[in-house]
Amino acid sequence: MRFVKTYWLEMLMVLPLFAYIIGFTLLPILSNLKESFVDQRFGRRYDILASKRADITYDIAHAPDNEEQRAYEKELAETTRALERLQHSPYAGVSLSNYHKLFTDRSFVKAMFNTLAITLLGLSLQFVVAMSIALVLSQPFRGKGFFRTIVLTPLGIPTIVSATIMTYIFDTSGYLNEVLSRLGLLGEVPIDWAQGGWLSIGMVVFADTWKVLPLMVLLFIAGLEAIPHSVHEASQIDGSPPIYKFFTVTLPLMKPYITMALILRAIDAFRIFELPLILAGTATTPLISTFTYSEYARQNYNLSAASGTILMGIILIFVFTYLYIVARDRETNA
Amino acid sequence: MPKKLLQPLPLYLSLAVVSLIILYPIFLMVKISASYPADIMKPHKDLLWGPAGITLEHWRNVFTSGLLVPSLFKSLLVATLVMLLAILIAAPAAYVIARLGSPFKYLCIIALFLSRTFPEVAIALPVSVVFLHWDLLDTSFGLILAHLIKVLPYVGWILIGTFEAIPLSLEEASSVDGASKIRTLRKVIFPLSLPGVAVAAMLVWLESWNEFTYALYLTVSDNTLPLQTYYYLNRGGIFNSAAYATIITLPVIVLTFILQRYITSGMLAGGVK
Amino acid sequence: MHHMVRATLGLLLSSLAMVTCSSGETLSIAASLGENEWKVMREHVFPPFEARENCRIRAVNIEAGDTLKKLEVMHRANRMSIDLVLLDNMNLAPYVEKRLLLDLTKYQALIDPEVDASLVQPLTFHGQLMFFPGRPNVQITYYNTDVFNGTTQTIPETWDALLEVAKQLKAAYKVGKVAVHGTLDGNTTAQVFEFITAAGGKITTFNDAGSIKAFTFLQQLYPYLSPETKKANWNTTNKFLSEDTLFLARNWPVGMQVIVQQNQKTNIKAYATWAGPAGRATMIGGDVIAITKRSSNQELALKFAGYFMSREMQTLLVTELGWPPIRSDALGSVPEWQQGFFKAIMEALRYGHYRPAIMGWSAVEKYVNLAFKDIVIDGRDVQTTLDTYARDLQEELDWLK
Repeated sequence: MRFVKTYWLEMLMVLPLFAYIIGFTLLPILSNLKESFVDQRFGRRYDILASKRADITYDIAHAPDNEEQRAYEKELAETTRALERLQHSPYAGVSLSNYHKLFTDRSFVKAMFNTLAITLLGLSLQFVVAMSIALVLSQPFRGKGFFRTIVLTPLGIPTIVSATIMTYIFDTSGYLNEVLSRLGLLGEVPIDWAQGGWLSIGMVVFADTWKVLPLMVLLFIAGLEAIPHSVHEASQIDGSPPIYKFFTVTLPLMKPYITMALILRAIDAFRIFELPLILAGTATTPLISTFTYSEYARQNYNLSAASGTILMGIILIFVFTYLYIVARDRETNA
Repeated sequence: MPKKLLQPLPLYLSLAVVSLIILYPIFLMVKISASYPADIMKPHKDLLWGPAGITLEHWRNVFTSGLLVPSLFKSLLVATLVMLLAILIAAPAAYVIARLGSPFKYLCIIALFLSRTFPEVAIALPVSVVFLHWDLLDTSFGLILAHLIKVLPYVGWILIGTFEAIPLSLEEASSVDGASKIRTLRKVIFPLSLPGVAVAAMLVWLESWNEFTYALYLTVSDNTLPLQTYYYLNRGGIFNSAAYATIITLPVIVLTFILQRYITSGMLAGGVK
Repeated sequence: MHHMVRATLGLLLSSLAMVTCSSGETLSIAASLGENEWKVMREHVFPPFEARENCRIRAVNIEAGDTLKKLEVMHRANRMSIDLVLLDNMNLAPYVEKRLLLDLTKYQALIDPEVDASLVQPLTFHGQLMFFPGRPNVQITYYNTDVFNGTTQTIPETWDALLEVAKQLKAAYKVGKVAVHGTLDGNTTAQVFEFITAAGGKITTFNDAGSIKAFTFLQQLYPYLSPETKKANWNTTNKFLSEDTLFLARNWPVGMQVIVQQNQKTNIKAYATWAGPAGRATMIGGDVIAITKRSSNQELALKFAGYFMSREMQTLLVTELGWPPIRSDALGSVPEWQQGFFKAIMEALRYGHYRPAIMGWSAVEKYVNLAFKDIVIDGRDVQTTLDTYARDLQEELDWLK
């Protein structure tokens, strides 16, 4: 009770956020998790029969006359019996068949590789470029505000639009190939950027970085400017080269912002979906997220749930590993 | 960092290259919205502008279709309200979480971003069913609630980082001076967190402005701007959607130009202590 | 006594319903149409009906790929705000499966005898009529007349000619200039269906002689196809044709609006299709009329369905939009620039085949795309791959029956 008394303000502050999140995201995720452990064949049939039963019940309640009502009741009895038979089929109960199917699927394994490659490559590229730009922007120079606005513009473009513009750039008769051929770098055959492999991974990484860079730059700028000037002044006194100062003073102080930016980006990067779909197509560059989507579109909800869970698992492993390294780092430095 | 690090020539050169790479796709978008089809639909593209010149035909189509203003208004309304609500809900919670002890804090953080690790398509459907049950179909309110789902973990996460970066010593100093908890929040924490809050607010606004999946489920007749763009794009109406896209991007450019100055001045107030 | 009260009440309610229906009700119609098509709807199709029935029509555009999801969400939340849907017939089974639609068996009389009976037959699921025919649609082969001018190249009429053309174009331009829809989704399935049927195969059997011939041919053809095949769907194909990335490709008639009208490429024309070992075959797509189960305006919706299928309306759709009609007495003249395309469409319809109206079409789609990837793109052995997938497909189809 005393806890509540002292911390009433804090609890009030936290409540809305958590109520919302638990209600609207954790619950659906948990139900998806549950779905993933249901055999797809069972799940599909069960869905059909269960919704049929719910629907008939509704119809019975709204039946205009006795005869229709009896017809519905007969249907309901049939459906209930079918459901019972289903429960006794060999596919009922908790099953790992979805996961087994996914991990033995050649194209899913390729999808996992592609997802990891795109994310890790993308993160590294985005970190380096965003940090450089943020550093530059934290210095005063003429045209700074102008340049800052330029850097932030891609943020405002909806993903579908930027994806489409990117197809105009990366098509075989697109603008990039045009630039390359005018520079004389292209042979007779234009480059097929969507052919799969590292070329397509690079294309997706570039397109994604373009869209996402402003966000990271913003976060890094906020981080840089949160470093009190007193620290800057102190470090300038001892006269060591600026690069050294960057790595020993600035970077460590920015750690919370960097951690936050990287993890935030990683979560979205692992889930990247519209961009590769439109730019490369699933034929050559499958990703876990496109896999999840196509299975969902085919009403294979259990398989889709399993695929989504695997992705979530990968993200969690990545994040925890990263946090662990950061926490351990902090302990050794403290 | 000393100014000597940045020599003017290499600095401006690299800035120019980066700016070119960033701006060219946007230039393409604007170009397509004002070009004759014959200039775009050909195997060897013009890098700058096609021979036929500029046409305002597509813009005229967009403005006379009668669909622009309602969707613009709806997107604007929803985005702004989402931004305000998100900060209101997330900021206090983020502050508390940032000050929590080690295991608890990480637990909260995990719970927060867990909701963003799952593919959207699997979550959007059940959520939309609930919303429709509450008669929120085609209402801006429903869309606002849906966007909050997407955005709250995100903004909470950023704000936790912001509050974490404010040293505890400042708070302690304030309470030693005799200030109550609420007073400390107002006088010490609030000003220092402003840059982070500003960044978070802007990102929330943009995310809601661009949002698309929930809009797809929760709207029937009143489209949002991205949805409208999607319809044109889906049918190969590249010229109309380029015009729409340019309209979508304009307020963003204006907004960022305003807000980026605010970040700087806000920082100067808090940093010099 | 109880029954009499009930009956009177029922009579009262239904007459009340009829009264309210014909005085200021709103009928909500959803369809997936382009802007010019909506214009015709709003200017020519809706107003006479609104005047006749004294109601208002609220028209909503829902893209074909999104319709199932949206209807399902509304149905589950019990907030169905759409009464009638002009549905793309690509995959009708899920709508039936999820019980979203009204059983139309007892309203069969709404279909006039002039309506082509073969259009109605695939609309029956489990013995119940679930849809009315709306308009048939079929893919046509677009070609670039600058290249296919009779001297440089002639349009291929057989598979062998198609292979030859693809080879020659690739040799001349160093990249393939012909494409099929290779996006590994419903688009691919539709075109593979055409190849299989043109070889005498059955897509649900999957490893019969015809299917093997079809996949073998596609495997031979693929290396000479454009690299954009993997991005070519019903939408992007139009772009590729317009910018001369492709000189020959099959696509839906909607292409003529985009390619000729919007992109102003008057040098692109179309013909019906090429012939496989078993003759020419096309897949009949198009739109069907469905009425939602939980709609509050079923009477009005049924009336509109009858109206849409009437001779006046079907003739109007022909003359204003160049849509092929569902009935034999809807004759009209198409706008001039569309005439060549319309001729190709009507001819292609003559070779039209329906996809089987089975519950497990999404399973067929999955295996067709898997086979396409393995055989056509990756070059695996045709027979063994098809045998494996045929077996799996059969298993899944049996389960879903």
